[in-house]
Amino acid sequence: MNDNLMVKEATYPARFMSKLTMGLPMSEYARKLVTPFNIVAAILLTVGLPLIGLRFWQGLATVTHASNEYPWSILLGWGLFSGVPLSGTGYVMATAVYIFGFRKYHPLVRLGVLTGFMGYLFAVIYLLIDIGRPWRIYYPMAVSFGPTSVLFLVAWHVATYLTVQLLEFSPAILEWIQARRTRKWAILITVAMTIAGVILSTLHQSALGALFLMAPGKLHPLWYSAFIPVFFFISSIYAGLCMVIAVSTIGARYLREKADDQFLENLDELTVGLGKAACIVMFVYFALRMIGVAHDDNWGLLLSSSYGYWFLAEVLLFVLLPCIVLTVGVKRDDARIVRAGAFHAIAGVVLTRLNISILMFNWNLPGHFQAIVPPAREVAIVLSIITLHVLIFRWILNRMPVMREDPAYLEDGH
Amino acid sequence: MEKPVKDAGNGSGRDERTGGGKGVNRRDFLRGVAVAGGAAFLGTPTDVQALHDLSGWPDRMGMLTDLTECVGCRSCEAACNAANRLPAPNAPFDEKSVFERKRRPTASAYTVVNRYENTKTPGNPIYRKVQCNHCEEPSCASACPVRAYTKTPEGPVLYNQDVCFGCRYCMVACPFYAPAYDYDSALEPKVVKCTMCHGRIKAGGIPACSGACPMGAITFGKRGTLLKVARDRIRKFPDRYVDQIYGEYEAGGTSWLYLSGVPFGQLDYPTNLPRKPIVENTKGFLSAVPLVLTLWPALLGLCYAANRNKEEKG
Amino acid sequence: MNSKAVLTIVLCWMVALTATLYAGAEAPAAGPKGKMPGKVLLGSLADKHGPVNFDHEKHVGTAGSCDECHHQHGGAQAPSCGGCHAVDATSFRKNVHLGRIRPCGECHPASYDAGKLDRPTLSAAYHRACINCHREVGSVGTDPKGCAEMCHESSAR
Repeated sequence: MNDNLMVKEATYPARFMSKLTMGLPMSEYARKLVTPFNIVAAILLTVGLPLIGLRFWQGLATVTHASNEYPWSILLGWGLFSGVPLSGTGYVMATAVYIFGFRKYHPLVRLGVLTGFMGYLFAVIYLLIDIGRPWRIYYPMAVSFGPTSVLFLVAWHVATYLTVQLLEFSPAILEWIQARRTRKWAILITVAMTIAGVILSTLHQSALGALFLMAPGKLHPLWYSAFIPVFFFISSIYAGLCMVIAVSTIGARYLREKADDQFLENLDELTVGLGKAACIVMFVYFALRMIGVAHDDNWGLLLSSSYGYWFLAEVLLFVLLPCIVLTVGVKRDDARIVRAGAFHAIAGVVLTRLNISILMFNWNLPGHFQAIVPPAREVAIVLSIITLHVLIFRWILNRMPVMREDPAYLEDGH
Repeated sequence: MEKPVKDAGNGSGRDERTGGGKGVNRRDFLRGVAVAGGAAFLGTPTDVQALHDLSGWPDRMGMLTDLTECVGCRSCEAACNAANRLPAPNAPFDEKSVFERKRRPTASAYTVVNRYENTKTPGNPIYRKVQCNHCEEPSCASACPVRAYTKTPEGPVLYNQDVCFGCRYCMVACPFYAPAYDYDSALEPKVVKCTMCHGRIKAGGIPACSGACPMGAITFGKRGTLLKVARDRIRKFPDRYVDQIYGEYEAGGTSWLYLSGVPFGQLDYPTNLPRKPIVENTKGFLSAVPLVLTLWPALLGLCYAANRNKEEKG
Repeated sequence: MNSKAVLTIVLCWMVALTATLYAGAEAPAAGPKGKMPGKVLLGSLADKHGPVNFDHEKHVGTAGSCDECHHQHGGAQAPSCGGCHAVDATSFRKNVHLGRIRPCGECHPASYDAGKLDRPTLSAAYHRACINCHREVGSVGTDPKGCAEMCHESSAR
């Protein structure tokens, strides 16, 4: 018995290393890492990561455009307000498969959940860089409660949902480290976690929009609407669907060997199916945006200033147009068109979020458009975090059963 | 049940020590009950409803700035700087060149005075003092996820840096662009804003700026009395003032009130603010939160059960 | 000069001033010269500010009328009689009819008075009276030199 234990202990590090290097000898693994993509990534990280250090050494003023008038910069405009809707992938896919019973989308669930989890994780990372005293991030949960605040709700829900998503994704991790018994427990809670995920997502996706309800004097009236929470929630649904299309497209292209046949063979059909769902939601969303204009009787603003034209560009070119592209793709059963539409729609979601959090926020301050141009340092930080995001995502796809099913667990389902 | 609210002055509240202001009040109590009941998670619409009745504090104080009296001497800036032991400014307080550009309160200045062209009497510039307006229903306090802000019964809205984690949502929510942030501090950044000299008020004194104004342009007193005084001035000198007391209704009303000879919009006062407290705008959303929390699981559970049923039969 | 001495001088001046005013009260309109003060040391707030050596005689010539500064009866900013004091026949005859100028401090509180928020403090009243004409003269600031440039004695503070 003692001997047995000794052997086990000796092999743990070896097994662990083999997991990390994907079964390759260390030297070969290191050699395989030198690719053009990785070199660019390394450069971006070399520039960006020290700048993050600079923020904690010299203060936010040295790296961001944030100011007393513009408390939130692109770190949040991009990282939080754009990142969170694009991470709606997890709750959208899990609901479709586990609650609504669209079983054929099962090959995409894990990818959706992972995309969502990583999105939230990195949203929190952007947040940790941006907030003044990141080591106090748990204060809304433990030290001092501000229940009248929409941000209080966001804090609670994002924290809870991050945990929920980790649990949702845990089967893949547990399969990777071959923890069969724990995995069984993780599978058992799938439905409960999915329902929790939908509730939390509904609330915090919409709450991110509701944050701006506190700034009626600052956000341009075309974007300020009592319906903002609804806009944010509905757009997160199609953002999630389109992100699954986008991520699966990229995954199937660049990490083809990490996907199984079931994934690759069904992908086109599933893509069109997702596109169909997305274009329906987008039509609803477009209609809601128009109702928003009607509700505040803002028609007059639409054609009277450049802000109006910009609003029209957003809803026509970045909501309606991709929606039409998706519809055409679905009608022709052409996954390529659907993919193009999905990428376009994603760009639209990012644009909407940037419009509300940055471009149209403080629109009436003098010198507004000079004030919002982010400094190079902040852009470098954002680029380095995006790079880190992609690298870690790839690292997981390379190792864990995400785009494939581990044959050892096939009979268990999920 | 509820941690007593710390003496919540800006900086370390040196000046506020005398008052030892324990801002625990009816609203805090309600919030405490809500949190204790686990209702924090639910968004607590009851709490929001409790927010807009301030009849319990009839003696809250205010400030009345008469812009027609201000001559731009910046004595208030100097007095504020001294009273709050803020860092020395780059240019001395009698330097007039600072008026060449518009300034705003910063991490090292609770208040600043700006100069504007006078459209009514050209050549006779108008000076506008800017600082936190100490709202009746402060947006910053409603927006703060860690309740770092307290509306005191005396009127001032105080900030407590001991719980603040620096999300700066208060700055987003403030309709008057009042709070400033210490962006240069790497590890201990905090929000900085006027305290209306809460400590002095509690000790029976008057705010430093008001006491220092040689022109008597800043009058300290009970808000109710100041409104009467302001109305009286408008009534007696209709040619001197525009018929508006800025702060009487803006964003639910502010402790700081203003009289002006020209329309307030010409002096960069936000004129697009609702008359009701801004927190009302989130009320509908927060009320919907418990609905989602209770209805969603039921509906989704039903969907799940229906599908299971179908699969088992099929 | 210590503050006690200043106060003594100020008090003497005020007594003298009051005496002068009362002496001339019977016939103010006739022969203003001699009845009116020449130079006045405005120092009732001397514990806070250096006293102002005010050349009254010079200002009589430059100001349009007495009401420009002594606004209490009939001036542009004058509140109604009842706004300051109860008016009866005696007080009317004594104050209004005879046109007697009253010391500013009689209405304007020397320091913050929560009961008289509608009236500027004495210091504010002085400043308003002077600055309204002298608005762009000197650098009106907190630097004693700036204030001294215009009015205040530089030795103060």
